[in-house]
Amino acid sequence: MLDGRFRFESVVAGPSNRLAVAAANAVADSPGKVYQPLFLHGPSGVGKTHLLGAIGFQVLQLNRKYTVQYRPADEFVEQLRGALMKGDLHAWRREWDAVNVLLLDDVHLLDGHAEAQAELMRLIEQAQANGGQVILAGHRPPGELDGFDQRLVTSMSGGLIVDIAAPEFETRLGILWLWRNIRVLDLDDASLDELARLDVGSVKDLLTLFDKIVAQRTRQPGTPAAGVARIVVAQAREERAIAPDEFSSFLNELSAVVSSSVEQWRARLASVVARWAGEGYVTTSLERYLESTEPPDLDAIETQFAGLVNQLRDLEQEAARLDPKLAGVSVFRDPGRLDEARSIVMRALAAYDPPPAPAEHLTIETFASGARNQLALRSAGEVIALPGSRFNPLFIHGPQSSGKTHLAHAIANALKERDGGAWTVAVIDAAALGEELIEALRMGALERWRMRYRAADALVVDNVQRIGGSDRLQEEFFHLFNAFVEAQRQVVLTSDVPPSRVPSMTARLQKRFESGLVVEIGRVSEEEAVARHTPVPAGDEAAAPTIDAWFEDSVDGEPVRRMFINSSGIDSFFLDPEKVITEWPGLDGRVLEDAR
Amino acid sequence: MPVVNYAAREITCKIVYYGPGRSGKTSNLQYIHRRAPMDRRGEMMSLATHGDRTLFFDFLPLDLGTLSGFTTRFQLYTVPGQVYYRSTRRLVLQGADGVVFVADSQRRQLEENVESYRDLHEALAEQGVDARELPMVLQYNKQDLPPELVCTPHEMDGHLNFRDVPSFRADALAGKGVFETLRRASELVLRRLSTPVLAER
Repeated sequence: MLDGRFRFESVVAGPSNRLAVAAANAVADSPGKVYQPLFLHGPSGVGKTHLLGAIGFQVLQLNRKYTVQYRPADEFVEQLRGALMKGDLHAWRREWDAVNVLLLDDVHLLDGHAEAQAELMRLIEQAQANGGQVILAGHRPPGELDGFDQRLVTSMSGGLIVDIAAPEFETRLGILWLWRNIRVLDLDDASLDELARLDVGSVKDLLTLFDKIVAQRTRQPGTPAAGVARIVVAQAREERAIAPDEFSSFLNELSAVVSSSVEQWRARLASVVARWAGEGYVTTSLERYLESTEPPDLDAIETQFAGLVNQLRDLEQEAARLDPKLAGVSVFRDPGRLDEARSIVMRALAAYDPPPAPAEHLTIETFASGARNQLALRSAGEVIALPGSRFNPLFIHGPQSSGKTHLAHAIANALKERDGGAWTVAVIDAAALGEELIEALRMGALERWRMRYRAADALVVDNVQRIGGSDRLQEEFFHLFNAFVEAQRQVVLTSDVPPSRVPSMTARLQKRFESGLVVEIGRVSEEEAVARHTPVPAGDEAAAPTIDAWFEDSVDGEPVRRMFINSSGIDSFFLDPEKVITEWPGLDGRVLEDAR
Repeated sequence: MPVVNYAAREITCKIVYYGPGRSGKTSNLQYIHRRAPMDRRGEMMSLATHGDRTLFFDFLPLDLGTLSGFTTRFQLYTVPGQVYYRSTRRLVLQGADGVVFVADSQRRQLEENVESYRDLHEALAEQGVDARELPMVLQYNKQDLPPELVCTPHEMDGHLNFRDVPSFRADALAGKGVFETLRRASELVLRRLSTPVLAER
């Protein structure tokens, strides 16, 4: 049903139709994604059908798999009526349901046809749900159509409504030049100019006059073209003078004046505003540019706004995944509230997919204090008392098995108790952080990974020196670190070397590590090491922190640790050094033999 | 008064028909009202005295529909021409985007025309409007009367059109020149849309 003659190449865009042509192009390039539905309106013969055809042709050019259907509304009504009479409504619906792009012309002819209006409403809703595209054309905008169901009027008004006015002089001249080229006619510019000056109300009228000139010249080949044009134009003026429609003529002229008077950049910006507002987004930030006295960089503005919308869409999707109740919340429709939207998703992440928590048994109470860790312990106390405000970050370094991990977890456990236990404290080894990042990148879930950590109230990273091996991890960690420190949320880092000696670490991260407080935990002395294996006095098991250090030395892994630890802390059985093998005697199998 | 609202894609223009009493201002609006399709025009509101003279003012809202993507509305007002309605005239004139001065072409009315035109300039000056900047056209009405009774457009120009604004001869009762006048006035008003200070968002 598509007329193949109607293409964008043969559309002459001018002030009277520029917006409509731009919208039609956008819809043809991305059906179902921009204006849903697109409603073109204007008097008869101004090019609405041509644009419908051009959209259909271009859609098929870009994607042969699409099903495109063009129908004048009266045919649509007749076919529906036929289907109803034959009892074939289901078959009729099946046929239309398979259409990806519906082009319905002369939609005003649906006036009073309740069934056809109901079907059209259903098709628009279906297209909105399935990513299809509906393009409608009529003489009047939806709000001015008589005999229409108000719900259909609302549906038809939900996308973009664009008018096409009668062509003004420049457009008329452009159309005449185009026709002369297409039909390879010998008509001079003066003749075309003469004809274009006639204020016809439609392209159809213009074409009729053009054909008259062509016919006259064919009948009288020797007559100069300009003379023929003058005669035809004079006749036309006379005919028009007999039946003047002052108001229509007034409107047409005014339309051309509006086209040429409104600043085109404002008109374009207004159409961008209309598009996003039509999709339900708050466009205040775009509207602000309309107040500018100078034209802004519209491409950049459009790109930036579209980028923000995409971020909001991703956030909404993520929020809905975590909690379906969050889908459709207004904050996800306002680019100006992007931070708020992020915060909602982060809170949802914290609730439904929290970051790793500290080991419960590693507390300040179970930490063995001594001269070698006094400064670190005092700093930990300060951090617990005033998180994020004094020593941020707190960088604890010391040799292996010196108790850094214990202290870091202990700080995290203490912070967790703040605000009645409402704080989320993320505690993770840097190596595990790197693995998580790789997985997130692989799964395309980087933003979720970021937000999961950024949702925490405090961040503890153990063995931060392990970040040094990966540039990407350093980059991500740099931003994560900054986000915490800038928000005055506490960061605690542990490392076996001071910041300046962390291998392969970027200078900017080193600098940031040193920007808070760097404290050292000294090496465990021989006496302390011996004390770790000394039997614990009966009844004072809670004061036996050294067994934990022993675990740090000998056991690398949470499952194993859980075997030895009960909910109240350390299993007292393992506090007795006689019941624990601290040195593996060899591989000759003798130990197993003995154990039996 | 905003002329164009880009955000809402709306254009609203206020055009005031000014002139001496019985010069034909209301006739202009009545003709436009008759020619406008039912769905384009609002109710014409006119408060008149028993002598058919405009007591307060006429108001004709015209919804021109969507022109080039902009919902365009015109509000046409007339002022009471009689000298003693000075304050009403000033009130109606406030916020006008353009003025059509309807002069009575009868020779005997020449003095009233000049007086009313002066009054218009005074009113504009009182409102801080530079008459040179305000879109304005002159309409010489009643040109259908016998030539011996009326001034020619050229004569009228000589008496009134010292600022060389567009002028039109008219017979408002029959509708001659009514739309030509409105069209030119509208065009002058709309041409100012691109002036940033007049554009609202």
